[in-house]
Amino acid sequence: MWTFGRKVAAGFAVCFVLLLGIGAEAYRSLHSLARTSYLVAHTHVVIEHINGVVSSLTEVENGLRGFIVTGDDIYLEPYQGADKAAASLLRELRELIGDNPAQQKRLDSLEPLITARLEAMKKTIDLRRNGGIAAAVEGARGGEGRKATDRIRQIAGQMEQEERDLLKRRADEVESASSGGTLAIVVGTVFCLLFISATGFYLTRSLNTQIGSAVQHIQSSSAELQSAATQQATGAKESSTSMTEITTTISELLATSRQIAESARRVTGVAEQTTEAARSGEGTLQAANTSFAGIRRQTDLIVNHMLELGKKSQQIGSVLDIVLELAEQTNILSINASIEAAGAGESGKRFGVVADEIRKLADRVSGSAKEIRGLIDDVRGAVNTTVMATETGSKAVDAGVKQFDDVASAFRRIAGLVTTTTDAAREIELSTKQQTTAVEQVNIAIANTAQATRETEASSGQVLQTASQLAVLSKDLLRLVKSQSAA
Amino acid sequence: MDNRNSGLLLLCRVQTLFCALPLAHVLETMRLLPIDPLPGTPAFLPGIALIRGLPTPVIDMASLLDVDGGSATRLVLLKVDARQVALMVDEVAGIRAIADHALQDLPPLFDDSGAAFVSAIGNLDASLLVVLQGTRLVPHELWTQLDAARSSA
Repeated sequence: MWTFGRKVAAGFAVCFVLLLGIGAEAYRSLHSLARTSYLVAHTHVVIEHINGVVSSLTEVENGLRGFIVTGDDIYLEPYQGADKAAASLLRELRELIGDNPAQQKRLDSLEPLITARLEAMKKTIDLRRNGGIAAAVEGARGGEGRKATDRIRQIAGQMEQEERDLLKRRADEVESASSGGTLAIVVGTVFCLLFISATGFYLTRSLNTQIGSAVQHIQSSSAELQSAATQQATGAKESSTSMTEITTTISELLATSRQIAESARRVTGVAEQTTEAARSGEGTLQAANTSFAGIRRQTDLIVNHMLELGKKSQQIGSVLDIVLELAEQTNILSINASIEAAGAGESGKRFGVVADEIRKLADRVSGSAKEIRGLIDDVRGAVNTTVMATETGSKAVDAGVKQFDDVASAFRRIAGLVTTTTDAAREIELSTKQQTTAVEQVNIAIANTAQATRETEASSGQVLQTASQLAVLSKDLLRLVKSQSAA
Repeated sequence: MDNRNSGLLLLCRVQTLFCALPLAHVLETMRLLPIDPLPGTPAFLPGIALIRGLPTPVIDMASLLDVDGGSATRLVLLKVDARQVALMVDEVAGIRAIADHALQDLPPLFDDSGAAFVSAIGNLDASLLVVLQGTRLVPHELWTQLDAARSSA
């Protein structure tokens, strides 16, 4: 679809072409008229030259007659220089009719006649002066001069007629050119006016349809723009509020980042101290491990001694069994001795007393041996308990050594991890510093953004105002277009 | 016991019970010896032990006195008429002379109770003391049975 501007340009182009054609035709007609006018004037000059030649010849003849009659030279004035004047006129005439061969041919036949006539006049003048009037009259008798003059006039008349015919043809040409130019101008002007009217009507209608719809679109768009500008203003206001909150939050974040950086620095210090402590703890663990090995050796010695003690106790028990056996046997023997002594009557009484004492001794030995056995059992129990406890302790020591190895390994791992932690804490410290810098930059950027948001808010107000003005303008334009269409 | 006033008694302990034997009937004391059981004998007669070449009936005093949980370690060899008998006791405490006033007869209530081998009762250091009559420890028919078994062996 053609745009309105394109249509206007096309209309102007057609008008331009039409006006160009009308102008060209008018120019051509005027040029033709001017050329024809020039040729008419040229023809008039030629006719004037022809008539001048004829009239000059007539005037010379009239002077010659006066001179013949009176013999006065005053009548010869026209004749004086007539030949030169005739030659000049004939030369100019030849130049003027240079484009017409027929006239050239006539001039070729006219020019000797004039020369001969002037020669004849010179002879007549000489006769008048030398022979008097009679000789002169006698010389003119016969009418030769008259005939020559008539012949000259005839040819001059033919030439003049030729020129007049040319004048007539050129008048026709002027008429034709004038009527053609007039027709072209009138018809072209009328057509141009009709085309301009049609184009104007079409463009007006197109203006009404396209620009009207466009203006309506502009009106609706301006309303939407107004609404959008209102929303944008509201959004910009909310954004401004949010930016303020963000600025506050970023400031808090900045403070927190600085605190984190400080904490990370402290963590780095603590991690370094922890690394040192872990290394020190590892050394302490190695010393403790050495102590544990000593404890283990001592425990083994204790176990060996206790086992030896158990063996000795067992040997004591064996001896004690013998003692108990002896005591028991002694007890039985003493009782039997007492029985025998009682059977012996008075004589065995003292023996009975001795036997009873022996029995008591045997009982005491038996009691003591039993006590010793109890003590030995206690000692053996204690030894067993001690051995078991010592073995348990030895196992505990082994477990402790293993655990200490594990703890030492754990300390080494802790030292390694703490080293890693130290590196990580340093990286955290560095990163937090960078983060702090970044947050400061973000803070600046947020401040700039807040400023931009405030400017956007102001711009939104301006856009809203512009949209309102645009809506008013679109209404005015629509009213203008509709009033034009109504008109 | 034939003579309660002889004074000297052999004290033996069966569990917590002390029993006294007249020393005139006691031949000797010894450790517990291996005992060969005899069929058809009462519970208090676990068998026969070979003591000094003679098969001797052995009486379990704990079973005889109906005391539970005895752990006999000694044998007391008694002379009963022409025979000898061994008593299983836990301990031989010694020889003691006990005054007659410390002893008393068995109450008549026990006359038909089968405890004819108890000649007297008393106390010894706050413990019951039973004075046994050695000749009645083994009933006569049991001697006959033992003699028949010995002769058949």
